[in-house]
Amino acid sequence: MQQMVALKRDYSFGTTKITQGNHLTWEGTLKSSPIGTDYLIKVSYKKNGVPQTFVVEPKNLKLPLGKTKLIHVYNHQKQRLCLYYPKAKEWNNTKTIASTIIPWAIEWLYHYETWLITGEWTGGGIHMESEDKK
Amino acid sequence: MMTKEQKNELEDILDVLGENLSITEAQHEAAVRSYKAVGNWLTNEDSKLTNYNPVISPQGSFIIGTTIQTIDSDGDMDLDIVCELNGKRPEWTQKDVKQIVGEQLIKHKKYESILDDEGRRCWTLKYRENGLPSERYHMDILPAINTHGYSIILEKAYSNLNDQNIEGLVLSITDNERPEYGYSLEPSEWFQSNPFGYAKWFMNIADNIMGRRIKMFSLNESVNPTPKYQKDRLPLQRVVQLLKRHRDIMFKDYNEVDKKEKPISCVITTLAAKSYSGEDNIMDALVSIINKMEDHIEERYDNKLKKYVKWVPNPVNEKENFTDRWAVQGSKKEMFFYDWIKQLKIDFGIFQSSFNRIDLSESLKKSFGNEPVTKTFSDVGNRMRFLTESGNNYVDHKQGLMGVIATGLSSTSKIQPHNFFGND
Repeated sequence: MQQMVALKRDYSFGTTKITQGNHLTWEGTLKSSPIGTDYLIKVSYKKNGVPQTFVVEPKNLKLPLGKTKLIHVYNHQKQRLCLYYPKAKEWNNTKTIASTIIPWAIEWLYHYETWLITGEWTGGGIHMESEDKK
Repeated sequence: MMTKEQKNELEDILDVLGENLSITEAQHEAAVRSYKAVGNWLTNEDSKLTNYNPVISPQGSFIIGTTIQTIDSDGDMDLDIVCELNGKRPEWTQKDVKQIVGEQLIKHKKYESILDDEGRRCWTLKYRENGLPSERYHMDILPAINTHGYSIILEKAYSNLNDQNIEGLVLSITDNERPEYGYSLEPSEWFQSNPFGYAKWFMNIADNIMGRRIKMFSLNESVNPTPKYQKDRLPLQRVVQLLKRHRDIMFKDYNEVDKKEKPISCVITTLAAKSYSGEDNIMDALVSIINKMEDHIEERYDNKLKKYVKWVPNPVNEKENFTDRWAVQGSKKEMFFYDWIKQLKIDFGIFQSSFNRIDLSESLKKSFGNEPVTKTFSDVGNRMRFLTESGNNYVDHKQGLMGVIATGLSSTSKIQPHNFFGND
């Protein structure tokens, strides 16, 4: 499977597994930036589905003063990250997780740390709320 | 031990922080407009000075690129300028020169209204444009006579300050605490000051990086009568900005009397330059300067006081001691200076241990204040977003987000443009 080959090439320091024939998971430690922090990340992908990306450790990521929820996540408790805009087909199954989802997760971690420091999300993107109002 | 990539990331943060502490382009333009207007007024045909072609040019931190923003919301930024006369009437004393400059200022309605009490060597104009904190500054105007009879700035140094002998840049200035203030007619007997020689001395050290001359900040440009705004700074200039800001933050809660005894900028700038050994990045320069500054404080025997006193010589005038006030009875200046050095060593101990971005931001906020540090991390974050949007951002698989890098490394991948999405 092409996804597995690419992950094993670029992110061999993590664990890549296939279960039930078509369920791919990659779990490993990603760093936000050279002086950034380490996070345990899990990507879960079923063939023809969409990759789901979680921050496994630390649980309960810190929040900036005055905020009660993480931003750019599908689920605050599960810490599942929103890394791309589905309607724009920024990800489709011809692309590899190794060249899209994981770099985007690293970028998410970087902007998450900046958000912690500044209270401002500098990563850009689209909020579902504003989408609803259109 | 930090990796090269970690050093690069830290350097970027410290450089942007320095930029955020600096004078802005708008402030620069406003300052240049103001001192040009003062210059035009002093050279006005009705002025007694007009025969001596006064030239107004900036000096001090403004020309060596180490000016910083004030931290008090009602504080003023300093703008030091020289009013250089090409000669004088033979019968003029220091007092006459000082008074004639003052009288000419008073003849102007606006200048009269913003003129402060007479200073020891300067006239001070307090600008309060539009009431904006960023447009409050005071302009110290230093009347001076060039000893050689021709303008240092317009005719000589402006062509190329680096080709001039430091001795040739000496100016005679007025000083109302000196005994000859009211009678000496001979400028060579007056206090000899050399602001342009000092600037040349400083820049000569700052642009010598690991033995190579780096033309990043031009002294000739900054003494140009209408200098362009220069954004980039050399490591030594950045370190001086950071040190001055650290001092301002450390002493901000001291009482008003004690606050006046905090280390002065010219001592900090001189000791930093003497301690700098050409490091090519801000962090290494900062750490080595902090550790070496106190070694450059000399002790010399003072014949009047009959004891040894601390001595930081003016590098362009060995006989002038920048720390002469430390020996004044009851002064806390010396104690405060060493307190400050001690605090610097504590606060920048972080670079000698392992730290992450969050620790760094907290430590920087403590040393330099919340506002510029928060803005710095936002600026750096926004720049990362632009890089991704324009298809020029990279990740290293193990080290994380890199920004622009030399391509072709197998451990890196280009980030494909995308949008973070989300509920909230």
